[in-house]
Amino acid sequence: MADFTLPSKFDRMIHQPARLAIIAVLAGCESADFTYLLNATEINKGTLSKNLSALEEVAYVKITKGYKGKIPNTSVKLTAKGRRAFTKYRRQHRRFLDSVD
Amino acid sequence: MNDGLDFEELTRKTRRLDFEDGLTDLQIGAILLVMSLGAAFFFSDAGLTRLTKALTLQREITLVALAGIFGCFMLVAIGSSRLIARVRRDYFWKDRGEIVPLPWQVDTWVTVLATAVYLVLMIFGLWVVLRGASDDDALLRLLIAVSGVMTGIMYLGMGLSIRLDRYLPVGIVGGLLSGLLFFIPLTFSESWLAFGAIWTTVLLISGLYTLRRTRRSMAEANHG
Repeated sequence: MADFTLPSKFDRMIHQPARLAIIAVLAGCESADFTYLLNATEINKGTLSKNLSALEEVAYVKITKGYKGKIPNTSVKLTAKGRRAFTKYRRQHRRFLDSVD
Repeated sequence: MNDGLDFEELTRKTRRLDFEDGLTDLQIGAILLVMSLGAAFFFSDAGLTRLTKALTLQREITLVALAGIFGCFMLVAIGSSRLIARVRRDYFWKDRGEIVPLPWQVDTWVTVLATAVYLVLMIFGLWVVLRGASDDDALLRLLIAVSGVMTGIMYLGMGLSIRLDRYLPVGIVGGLLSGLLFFIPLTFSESWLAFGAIWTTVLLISGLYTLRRTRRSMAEANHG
């Protein structure tokens, strides 16, 4: 029998498309602001906020609200736990794709 | 599965953002230029004579001055990073939102490969020098040449891993020219100058070309 990780074993918190897009963007930087995440993921504001809260609850991201000059700014950073989980997810995903090919 | 979502490309795209406007190339080129000019002076006959004399006559003042020079260098490096962040915030990233780039953009496999090549080339160079097949400065020149090759491999690897095409010629040209330094009978000081000239030129061309292209596409977007 082929040795591969079934999609059901994937981390559900990451595997959901909107959250995967958010985490993938955050994995490429130290932190990103809300506007960048909106543009890069092409998710609407409501969905982005909801999914960021979900990711914050499991400590995959850290959200910092502040000001840049007089403009409110929300900065989001992938935590070490989130980065580890994403690395594991990428590995499992690659193994799965290899086993399917 | 996540049909249609290329999440690996999303990560790469975010990583590429730090290099998309060419400002990072200009900054690194400028830092390497200042560093190599400083090293070329300190390791030249005149520089070494003056430094030795100063250390003998006014040891404390010289050490403070050296620390001051290093401090200024660090200030310029940090200051230029802040300036770049400001330019991006006010101009390049004005409408798209901003990121704080990763502190180290080179992938682990690239760093490991570059280090392995560094060690192999050092051993080869030492073998050449020990066989007496080279001049007196060859050992010191080897350090610079191999460091340049390592830098080239890092750029090449980074270009491949984040799919930034312009870093492929940057890495190949910079790395090869740096490697050639070992075979040219230059003094240690002259090698530093050559190293600075190679990498500053390569990064300046890459940075200016990219900056021009970015500004042009922004102007087109604004008018279109």
